[in-house]
Amino acid sequence: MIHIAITQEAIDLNREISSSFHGSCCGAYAWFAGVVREENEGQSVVGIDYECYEAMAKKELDKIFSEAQKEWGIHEGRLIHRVGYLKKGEVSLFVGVTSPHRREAFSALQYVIDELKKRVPLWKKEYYEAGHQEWISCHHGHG
Amino acid sequence: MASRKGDDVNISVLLFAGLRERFRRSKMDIEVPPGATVAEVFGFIAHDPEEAKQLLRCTLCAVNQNHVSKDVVLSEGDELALIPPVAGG
Repeated sequence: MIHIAITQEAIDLNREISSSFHGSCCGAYAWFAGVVREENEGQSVVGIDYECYEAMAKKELDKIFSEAQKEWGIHEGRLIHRVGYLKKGEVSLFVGVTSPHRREAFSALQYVIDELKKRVPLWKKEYYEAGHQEWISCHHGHG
Repeated sequence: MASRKGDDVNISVLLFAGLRERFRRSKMDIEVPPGATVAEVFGFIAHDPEEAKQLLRCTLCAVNQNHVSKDVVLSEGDELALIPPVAGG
């Protein structure tokens, strides 16, 4: 089962880690949490405002998990992305996957996060201690 | 509702992040001529041809939440999202 959510609520990491997955068919459970870092390219960051095109983001994340299931046979997947303003230190993203063996779980987890950063319509604006702010961009994954 | 032959085509253009701020709105409802492509929309919404060229170069597009190339012809009721470089996570 794949569960995808975009939320304005704080992500409770302990709850996500302990209650996301069920059953004992899988020997591996790999997860990742993204956190707002206090520094970027030499500037002190106080927070990040996340913006999302939610309908398309969910569609694209569905596709990404389908690809990961096809490639690595993951059993369950869960992704929560927070939007709105987050202070430094807050959790912006949780991704977890289960699979029978660890290599598949690690590979699938890495793939989902990498593809999210390239393909999913999410944007972040960093707010700096110095008082200014800036949209942060990665390169587009498409031509 | 389908448009009659020869009528302009009504579409919605969604703007995000830096583009939303640049145009000071998150959505534009516009009419384009029949047969207009995604690329041609940039000419309708930009303030000048130079801005249209620049936006065309660095923006991805999605129609009805699916990535499309910029030579796709728009249909009545389409939702065109202009997607500046992304950076989630």
